[in-house]
Amino acid sequence: MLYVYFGHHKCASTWIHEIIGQVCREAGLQKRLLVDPLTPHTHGPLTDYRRWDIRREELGAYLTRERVDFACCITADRAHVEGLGDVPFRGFHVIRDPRDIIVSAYFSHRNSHPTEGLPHLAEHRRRLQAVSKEEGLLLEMDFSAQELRDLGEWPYGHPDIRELKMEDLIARPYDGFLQIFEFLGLMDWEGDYPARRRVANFVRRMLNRLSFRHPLLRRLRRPIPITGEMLLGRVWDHRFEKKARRRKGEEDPRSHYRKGQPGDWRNHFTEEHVAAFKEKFPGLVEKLGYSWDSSIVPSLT
Amino acid sequence: MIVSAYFSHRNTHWYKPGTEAWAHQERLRQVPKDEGLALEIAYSERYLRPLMTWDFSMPHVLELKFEEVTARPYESVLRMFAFLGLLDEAEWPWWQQLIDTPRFVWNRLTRRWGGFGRWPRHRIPAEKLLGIVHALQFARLARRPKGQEDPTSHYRKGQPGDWRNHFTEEHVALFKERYPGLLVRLGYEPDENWSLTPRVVSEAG
Repeated sequence: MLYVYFGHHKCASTWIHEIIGQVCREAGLQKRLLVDPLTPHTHGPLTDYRRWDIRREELGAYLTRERVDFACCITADRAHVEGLGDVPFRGFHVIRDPRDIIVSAYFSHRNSHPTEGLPHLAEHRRRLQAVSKEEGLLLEMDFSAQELRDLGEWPYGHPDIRELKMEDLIARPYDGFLQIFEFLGLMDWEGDYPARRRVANFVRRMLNRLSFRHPLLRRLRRPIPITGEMLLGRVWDHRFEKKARRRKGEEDPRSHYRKGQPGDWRNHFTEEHVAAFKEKFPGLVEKLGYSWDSSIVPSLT
Repeated sequence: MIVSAYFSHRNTHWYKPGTEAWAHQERLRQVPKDEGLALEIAYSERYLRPLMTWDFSMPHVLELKFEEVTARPYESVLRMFAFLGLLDEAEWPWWQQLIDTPRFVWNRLTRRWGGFGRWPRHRIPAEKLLGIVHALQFARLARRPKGQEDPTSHYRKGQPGDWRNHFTEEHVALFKERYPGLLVRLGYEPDENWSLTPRVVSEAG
C-alpha cells in the first residue's frame, strides 16, 4: 500500500512533511518528497531531487518502481491523483483558507522563502520589494493563481483521501495527526504491549533510524506499526512555539513561521483586495468550506 | 455534573448495601428520570458545595475545566505536567532513551509487587507522556466515537451541554434555588438568567 500526503504551497507543508519524515524513519518506511519547482506560478515536471523530469501521468509507476512507501506531494493538483492510476493508495489532503494563502505567500515571497534555483521567484521578490503592500498583495494573487485554481479543481470526496483544513490541524495538532494516521491504517495501540515487546519495539525504532544513515545499513530496516508515542512525540518536537520561538498569534514578518493565525487576511486585505479576489477566483472560498461572513470564524472543532 | 452523576449513581457504580449511597441508588432505580434528577440535585450537594467556596486564585494551583480537558486532552495534560514542573521539555536524545526505555519498562513491572525497587525519573519526557495519554484515550474511545452514548458505561457520553437534553424547567428552578450563583462563579454563565434555551450570542468571534 502506498501512502500519500497531498499538500500545497503555504499550507503548513514544510511542517507536515518534516513530521512525516521523522515518523517514517522510525517506522522503517521509505518516504519521498515530490515537488513542482515552478509552483505556485505554473505547472512543470515534478522532481524528487534525484530525477527532474517526472511527469504527473507516470507518478504511480515511478513511485512503485522506486519502492516508495510514503509520498509527500507538497504541490498537489488533480493530475497527481489521476497519475497514480490503479496503484492502491490511501492519502490525505490539507487545504487552507485561500485568502490566508495569498497573505502568507506575499510575506514569504517578499521576505523569507529561499529563492535558490527558483528564478521565477527571485524575480517576483524583486517586484514585491519595489511596490507597496497593497499593490504587492494584488501581484501575489496573480503569481499564486495557478495554486488557487488547483485547489478549486481538486477531486474532493475521493474515498481514499481524507480532507483536512490546516486551521484545524494547527489548532489541535495531536488529535489531527492521530486522525490522519488512523485513516491511513498505520496506527497501533501500545497499551497492551508486554514488557518484552516494548523493549523490542524500541530497539527496532533505533535500528530503523540507523538504517537510513547509509545505503549499506538498509538491511537493518523492518517496517513496524506506529504507536502513539512515536507519532505524538514527533508532533511535540515540531510544536509552533519551538519552531518559531514565539507563541501562536505573535508575528514576525521575516520568519518562515510568521504568525500561524487563521483569518489573518482580515488584517491585510482592503475592500479593493476583496473585490479583486472575488473576481479572479469566483466561488472558491465557499467551495473550500470557508466564508466571507465575518461572524463565522473558521471552524476549530 | 448532575446529569452525569444521575446516570453513574443509577447505573454503573456499585455500593455496599445499607450505605446512604446504596439507598440513593435504589431510590433512583425506582423513580422516573425527572424525579431522579430532582433527587440527584439534592444528593449532589456534597460535591457541589465545596465548589461554591473554592478559592480560584491560588497561584500554585492550576485551574482547568473538564470540558477543556476532554476537548484537547493532549494539550491539557502537557499543561498540567508543565505547571507541576514534572514535564521534561528538553530533547530526548537516543542515548537517554536507551537508559529510559528499560527504566520505564522496569517501573511498570514493579507495580506488580507494590513498587518496591523502582527507579524513579523526576520529570517525564513529553513524548512518553503523550504516548500514555494516547494509550488511555484509545482504550476509552476505541469502542465508540465521542458524543455517542452508552448509558451503562462509566464513560457514558462526555459531551458538554448534555444537561439540556435531560433537564426540565423544573430542574433549572431547583438547581438555581439550591446553588445560587454557582454557574456564574465557575464561569459557565454570565449571569443567573440562564434557562433551557441557549442564549443567542450576538457579538462576533
